[in-house]
Amino acid sequence: MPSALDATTNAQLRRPNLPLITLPWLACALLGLAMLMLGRFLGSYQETLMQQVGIFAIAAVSLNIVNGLAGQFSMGHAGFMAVGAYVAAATTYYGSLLHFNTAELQPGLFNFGHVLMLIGLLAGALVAAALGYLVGLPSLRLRGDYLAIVTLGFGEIVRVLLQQTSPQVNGKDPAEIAAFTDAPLRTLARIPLNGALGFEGVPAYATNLWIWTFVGITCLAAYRIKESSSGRAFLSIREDEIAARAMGINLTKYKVRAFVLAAFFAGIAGGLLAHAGVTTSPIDAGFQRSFEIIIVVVLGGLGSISGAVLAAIVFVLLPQVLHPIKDYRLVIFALLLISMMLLRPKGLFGVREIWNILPRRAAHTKPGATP
Amino acid sequence: MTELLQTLTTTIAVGSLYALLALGYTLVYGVLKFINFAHSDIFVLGAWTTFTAANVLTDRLGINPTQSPWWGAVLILLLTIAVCATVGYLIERFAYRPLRKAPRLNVLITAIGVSLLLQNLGQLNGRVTVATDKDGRPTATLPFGSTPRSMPPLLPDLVLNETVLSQGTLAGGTQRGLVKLDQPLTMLDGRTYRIEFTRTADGQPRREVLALTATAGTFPPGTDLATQPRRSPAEVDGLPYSLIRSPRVPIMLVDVVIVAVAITLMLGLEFLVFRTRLGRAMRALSFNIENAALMGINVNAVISFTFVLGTALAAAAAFLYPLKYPGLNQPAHQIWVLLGLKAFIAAVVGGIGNIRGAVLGGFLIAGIEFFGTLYGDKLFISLGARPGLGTSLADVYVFSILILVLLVKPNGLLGSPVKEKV
Amino acid sequence: MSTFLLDAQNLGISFGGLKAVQALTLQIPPNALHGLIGPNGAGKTTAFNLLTGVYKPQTGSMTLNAQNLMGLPPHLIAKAGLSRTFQNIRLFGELSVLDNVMLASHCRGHHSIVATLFRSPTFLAQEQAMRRRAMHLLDLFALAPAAHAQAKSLPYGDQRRLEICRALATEPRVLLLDEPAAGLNPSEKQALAKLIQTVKAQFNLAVLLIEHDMSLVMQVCEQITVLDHGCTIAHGTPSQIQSDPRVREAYLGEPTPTPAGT
Repeated sequence: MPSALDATTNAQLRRPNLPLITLPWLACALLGLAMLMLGRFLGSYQETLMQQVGIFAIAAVSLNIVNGLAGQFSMGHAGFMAVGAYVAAATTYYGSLLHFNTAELQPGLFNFGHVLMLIGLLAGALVAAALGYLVGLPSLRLRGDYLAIVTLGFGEIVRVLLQQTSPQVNGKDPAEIAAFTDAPLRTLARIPLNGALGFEGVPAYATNLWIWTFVGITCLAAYRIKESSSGRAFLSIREDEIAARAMGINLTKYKVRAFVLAAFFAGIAGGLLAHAGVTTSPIDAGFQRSFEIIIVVVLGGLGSISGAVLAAIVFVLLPQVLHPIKDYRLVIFALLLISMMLLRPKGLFGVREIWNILPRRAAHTKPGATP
Repeated sequence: MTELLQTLTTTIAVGSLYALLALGYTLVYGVLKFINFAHSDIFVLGAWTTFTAANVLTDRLGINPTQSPWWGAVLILLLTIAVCATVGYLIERFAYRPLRKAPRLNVLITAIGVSLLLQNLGQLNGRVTVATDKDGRPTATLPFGSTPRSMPPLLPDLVLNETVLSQGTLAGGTQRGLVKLDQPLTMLDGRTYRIEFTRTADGQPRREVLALTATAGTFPPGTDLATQPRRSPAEVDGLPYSLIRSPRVPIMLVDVVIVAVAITLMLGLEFLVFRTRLGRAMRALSFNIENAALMGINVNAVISFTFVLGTALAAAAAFLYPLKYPGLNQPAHQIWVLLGLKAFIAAVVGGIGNIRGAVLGGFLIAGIEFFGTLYGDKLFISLGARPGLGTSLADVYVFSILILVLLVKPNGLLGSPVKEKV
Repeated sequence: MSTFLLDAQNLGISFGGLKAVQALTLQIPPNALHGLIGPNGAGKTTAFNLLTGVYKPQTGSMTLNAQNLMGLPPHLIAKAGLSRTFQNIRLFGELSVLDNVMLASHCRGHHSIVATLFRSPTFLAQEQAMRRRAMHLLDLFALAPAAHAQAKSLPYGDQRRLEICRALATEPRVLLLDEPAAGLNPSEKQALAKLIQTVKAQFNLAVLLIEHDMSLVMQVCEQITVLDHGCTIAHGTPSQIQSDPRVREAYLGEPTPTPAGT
């Protein structure tokens, strides 16, 4: 028995010893670059699809932190996305009007427009995270279904509030731009986010390079959280709150932390969506979008990061591949969701990642083997 | 004062709809301890079934429900209940029953799946046309499709507390748009008056309404009075008329029907749950399913029954709702989810699992919604916001109440505390 | 300052008029092995829930090593050095055996999210230390070979031992065991008795044991407190308890003998 133990401990101890901590972050940028090339190679329609897949993947992976790992069922994820989207959209749009005097896309691989987008993404993510903190607080007192309803209500409230915002400054009208640049703060104070019509004309800086770099960053961050003491704390809360508290886990802190992290990355996903050449609409905050993300997370596996990415790819691409079923897309996914709960309640991969399904089996039959 | 009373009547009518719907959430939660997320979709199914049945009735069978025998509407109500109860039974049997021992999260996800399924099946574009209008355009299809539709009236559009001031013979005025009455008339400020008469046009008797547009004052018989729409003297000369004053706070037939049906059902439910064997079995299940089974209760049958009962109440609410609000949005529209959410909030605020709490919560939430809209708008305008902002925030008020109640009294107003066993 | 490590005085709680526990006094010196017994429904598990903060005591006082524990939430009580097992096993079933134990050392570390995201050297060192310690504990409990199996896949006896192992990973000063021998066969019970004594000696901690198996309690405990109907009815060494008429009455329902009686 000692030999088996030594084998395990040594293998386990060696594993986290990766000195090159910057390497994984570089890999994210490489992923983005590869996807940019692939998109250009395939054509513009496919490029758009890849953008959608990427944004969906970020949304799903971030929701997985709170729904999958921490087991706190949030149904307002689209609300966080929309907050991130609007903050980022406003930052870039009004920033561009101030700096370039136009909201047109500026040419070049990297210019001040990209800087504005990155600032907007960060600001959107931070505002979303702050709201995540506020929404996370009641999660301490509300379990399961109640929390789900409160978060659903959060998304709907975001939608209702966004619909009340005032018209945006028309970026094609020089007079309006001049009026705005003269007194930008006074204009911004009336929250010009274009109400129910949706925020339009945000320059589309979010190419596949940026989107997929952020997919990489989000996945890396989520994976590192999962494989850490915080991740174990999340999972323990999901499994048994009472036992988790008895083992010294501060429930408030970790539930709120899960919400904040999930909201942060949801804000990034939203911000990227706003820069992907589409209108940012209050409907995006509503429950329909939240439900789509939930479908992806549940199908991929509650807690599985690679599963969520895979499910996002399937969710976006399957209706494109099987054209006749396009109308029935959500009917089919609803049926899949129900049958998944009946047949494989933990989702396709459960809490595990795609790559450790086979080795785990081996570990199960041969105690002491390295996973 | 008038505003207040008008808001109160709306609150009572809509509150009883919320209460009916909230009862469904609470009944299912009582025995199964989970939120039937698809409950609001059952309601939508009911509303669209009512719509489809009403159209079939008018189009295929040529019956005008507002004039035909009253059982036309009752028939539609029963059909709606039958359809919803069947679907409810199938959902319970095939989606929820296999998960009875599964974690609550899984059941919640399944419920979301069922909800999505019903929504998206309902809004598929219609394949089968079941009713058409007189030009042959489809008015009702199966599936229901993604076009918003308008409900044909099932009830006459009656105001119950109107006053008939006088009756007499109408005469045409000196020119088009003026009439003369053969009775004296005193018009009070801020009230509306109208003349109703029946004239024969194209060989058919037709009931017509003229609104008096004159200002307040006293008018002796034979005075020229301005009306809307404008009729030529020849059209109205010599017809018997009724002069009617509209009430300050109109009580509509539809509101009375809604409240009457809802209260009858609630009393029936109260009797069923607290006074019958079946009700005792349901209450036993809500305490402990295993123990109830050991006492010889047929658990599956009672759960199915409870589920069907909840969906039947939703169906009744769904039948009543389009009577009041005839504009039907497509089945996957967010308005339905918000409606279901409000009913759910009513159940939670009243104390989920508690039948009287659901009724209380229903009226309370409707009150917050409509009084909040009334006074919220005034408040926001006084704070310098544009008019209408306070009105569009009605859902925000309701959600704030939910969060407040959950934080202060997590088990709701009438709920009992639940402690997890360690 | 008391000479007792855990000093709970007059703890009480009632649920809606029912006095589940009243005036529970438990004084446990360092390195003691103390038994808490009583008939079913006497309030033993409620007593544990009071001590570990699952329920907030409504009366009384409670200190651990002179630190006041009254009203603290469970995770701070765990951090203060009071750890427990559960009567109905509450492992994190989906997690691996190793993760169950590593999780329990959580309250001894620092878990900044930035360090986690960037895998700083301190973060890695801490993870490594947690892992090493967890493996050491698992080894002691002969659970190391199953370290990567899901906790719920372990046989029942192993799950019971894993609960103790997990409780130890919080580095407690006092270990509360709630019926650890329930469902074990006689030879497993003997092994458990030995294990409890080994653990107590090796980790230099006090053990408070709820157990229904009287022979086990009498064999290992130095002091015993008896609860009935939420009240402490007797306290003493195993031999004192065995001869105490009130204890016999509580268990067997014999009438209280008169002072002159048997």
